[in-house]
Amino acid sequence: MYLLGPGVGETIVVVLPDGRIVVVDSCEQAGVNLAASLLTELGVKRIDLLIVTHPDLDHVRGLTTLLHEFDPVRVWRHPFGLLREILAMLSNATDATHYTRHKQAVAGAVALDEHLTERGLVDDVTYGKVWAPPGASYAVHALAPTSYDTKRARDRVRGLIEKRHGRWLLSAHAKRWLDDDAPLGDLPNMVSLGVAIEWGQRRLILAGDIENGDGGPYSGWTGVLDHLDRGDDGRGRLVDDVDLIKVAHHGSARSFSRAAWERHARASKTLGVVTTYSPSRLPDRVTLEALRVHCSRLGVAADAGDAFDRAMEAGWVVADTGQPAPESLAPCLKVVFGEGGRPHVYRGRPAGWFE
Amino acid sequence: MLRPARKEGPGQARGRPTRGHSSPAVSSRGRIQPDTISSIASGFWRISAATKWTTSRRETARLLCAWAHAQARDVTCLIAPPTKGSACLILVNSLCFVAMTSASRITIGSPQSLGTTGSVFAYGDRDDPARLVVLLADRVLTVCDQTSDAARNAKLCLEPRTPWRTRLQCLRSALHDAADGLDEPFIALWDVDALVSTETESWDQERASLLRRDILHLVRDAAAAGGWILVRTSRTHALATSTVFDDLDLEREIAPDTKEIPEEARLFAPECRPIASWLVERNILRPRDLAEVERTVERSEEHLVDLAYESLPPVARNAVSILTALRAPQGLNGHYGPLPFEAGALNASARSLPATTRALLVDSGLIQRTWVSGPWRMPRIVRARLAQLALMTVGVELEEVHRSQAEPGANTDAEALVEAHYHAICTGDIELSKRTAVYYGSELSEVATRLSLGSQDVEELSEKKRLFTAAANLFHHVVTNFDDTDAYAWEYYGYNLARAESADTTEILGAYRRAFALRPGNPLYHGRLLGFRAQLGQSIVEETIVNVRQYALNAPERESVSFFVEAVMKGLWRGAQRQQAHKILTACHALLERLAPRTLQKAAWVRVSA
Repeated sequence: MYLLGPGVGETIVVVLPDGRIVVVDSCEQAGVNLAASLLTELGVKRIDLLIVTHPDLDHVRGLTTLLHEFDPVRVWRHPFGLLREILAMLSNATDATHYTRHKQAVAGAVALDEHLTERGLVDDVTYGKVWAPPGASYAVHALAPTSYDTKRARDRVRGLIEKRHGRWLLSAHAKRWLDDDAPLGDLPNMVSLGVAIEWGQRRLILAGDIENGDGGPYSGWTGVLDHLDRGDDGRGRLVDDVDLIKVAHHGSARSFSRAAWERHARASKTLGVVTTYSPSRLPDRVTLEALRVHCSRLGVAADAGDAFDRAMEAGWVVADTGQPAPESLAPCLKVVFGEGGRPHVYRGRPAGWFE
Repeated sequence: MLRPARKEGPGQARGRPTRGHSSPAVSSRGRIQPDTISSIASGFWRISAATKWTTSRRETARLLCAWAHAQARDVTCLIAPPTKGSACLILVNSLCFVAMTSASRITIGSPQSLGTTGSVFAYGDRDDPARLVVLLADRVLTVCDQTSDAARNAKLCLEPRTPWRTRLQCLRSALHDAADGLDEPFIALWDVDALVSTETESWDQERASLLRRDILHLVRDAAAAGGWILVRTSRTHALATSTVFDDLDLEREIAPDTKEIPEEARLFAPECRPIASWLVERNILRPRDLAEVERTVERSEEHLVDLAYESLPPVARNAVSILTALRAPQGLNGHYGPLPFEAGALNASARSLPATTRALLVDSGLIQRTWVSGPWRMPRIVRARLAQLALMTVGVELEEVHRSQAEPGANTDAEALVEAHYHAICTGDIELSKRTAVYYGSELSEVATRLSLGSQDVEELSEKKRLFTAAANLFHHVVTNFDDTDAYAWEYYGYNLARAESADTTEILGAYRRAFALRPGNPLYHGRLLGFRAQLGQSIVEETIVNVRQYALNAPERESVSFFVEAVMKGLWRGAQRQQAHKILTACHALLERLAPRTLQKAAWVRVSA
């Protein structure tokens, strides 16, 4: 598993035991698509499963490159319908010149959507979806978003338009958002996909930007655990005693679920990896401190900014992976799992490795 | 059912006296002495009214027996099996009276067949009350003798000037009388849950919910008396719908689903099951996901509609969005109503739909058959969920469809006429709306309201005045050509005349007075009346203070005080009546601080002056 994070952005490349390739999200550094670059280095021609976790720019930048150059066999995407609604609203916004930038961005997303939909490549995925190729010894399980959060996000999107004087118009908040005066808040993360990859006794969680939601029983991590434990199919095991976790949402405190982490590291501490998000100083110190309870080792894939300092302030100590640096030019962590035993970790030059 | 003898002649309460013991085989077609039946029936209705139909028929019978025993000796009352209709056998002094109408029933899901029963649809739209009165009256006219009282009453409901209250009374009578003469149900009211009001009752918006409440009560009472099939295909989440219909002592049947569906799909309302089933067929959800959605998602049926819509290709999404303009059931044979499916069409437009979308719309459940071999329609939950977005995505096409459907053409039956009027109202075209208003003017008020509110979007004073004047003219058209007891129309006739700065203050004051007289409990209307009087220089201080206290006592939870006093203060401000305003604020300060703090915040102009 390769985790690439240039400071703003995140992408993960997983080479499965049978050589199939899973790519999660897309990001760029200095105009270079990091996943594409790595895949080329690895001699990969085709992506077997491309996962687009959520519609934040730091997770989708350069996506078209992956689609065009690596012709994915299938695409798992966060629920996209609500994004379409935003696009519809934008395309009807009255102040056309003012919103040109948004319109151009969304036009690209719509074109991509139509391309994928027409070719039947894309599934809008929520909790419960499974990809298990025939004969394969592994399976990829979608953990999030729950239907509850999907509905919550859609309702939030619908709140961006309101009925005034008998007509539906952009709300004041939507206009402020388009003017860059107001954020959309946690809206994109509400629908973030998170997946678990299970291979024999090995379990990896790639948590996207799953957050803690609205505090209700069916939202965020609480909702994920509720769904996993409810079924009679033993899916709760997917989050128990996990070998590796890509920490959710760049290590934001909003995404740290104590209940989930206690299960991830129930028998023994686990291995955590995280990408940074420099503008918001993520991972934040509170999460880094909390991770010390549950993780024996922590990798930070970053052109780091001050993230390493925060890690050390939180008590983490710089360590040696014991392996040579990987060949990739990217800020990258590479973790190799065998059938058993400790995984081998390789640290690209700008990345950090802590114990 | 035994009824009060409202009037003499054919069609009133039926029953036949027989000697000896009663028997369910006794004919229901006889006549009895009017004075006897009147006596029994009035007692019966007293009991019914007292119990407000919250008790079962058996309990009603027990009460009836008790009453009858108190009135005469040797009285026995038997109740026929409920499945045989609202039948009552009463023995008074060895005379047996039988009264019977065809039973009403509640059907959950789409009935397989309706036979000769006529269908009327509730849409959950604002015009439901006015529209349904017309369509139900029209239905009465198709089943009863044209010279009967029922027919006379029904015809009154179709007169444009008949006031709302009179319409309700006439329709109530007409429906009861029509049911008396029939052995089979004569009205199937589809999606009866749509009649439950979902609107908050703020004082400026109360009209819609009041009318809706009226029609709902009328339907309940009429159904209790027999002759109806209440079809429940969806649910309304805003209120506990179960309490609205479940206490009706009616036979219930569950219609079978029209195709095999996953068991989990049965967790949803009947209209939503085909959608749930399709989501599973398309591998978008697993059957167990349906159960999870139902368990965890509020308004889970809306969520399924959204998922289905989002799973369609863009062309089909556009097609279904355009079809939200058509709410009435439609034929589907190469066309959906007026819109043909064309093989060569690449995208959906207001004139045609791509042929490729037909199967998708049907398979996905977004368009469904009403009953086996019946017409097709978009379920209420689908239309309600998608219409909002459609206005943003295919607004131009919707406008074109509405305009094209606003002319009923050769079809002049009541349903076609009211639907044409609906489409005309949706266009916002004043003349078209006026021209198509055959039976009622309440929807014209909506066009007028839009004009009035539209003035907020314009800067230029003359344009504002033009809009207010146009709105006032339309409200005036409503009260002069339609229901002159329409308090809302009178109120906003006065309001818009005032905003247009009409010099005819007598007319404005008269309109405000008329509105308040018709709806004396509305603090907004009251406040505007006092406010306008203040604007004219009249003293309103004492009257206002008394009424602030009164509204504080009566309905504080509905912000009565705020609505009232804010309207008064606006009038005082417009009339520069600072002294009066100051006195009111001083006298009511404590109350206003508690119940109308916003009004105090806005009253800086008074404090500056004082």
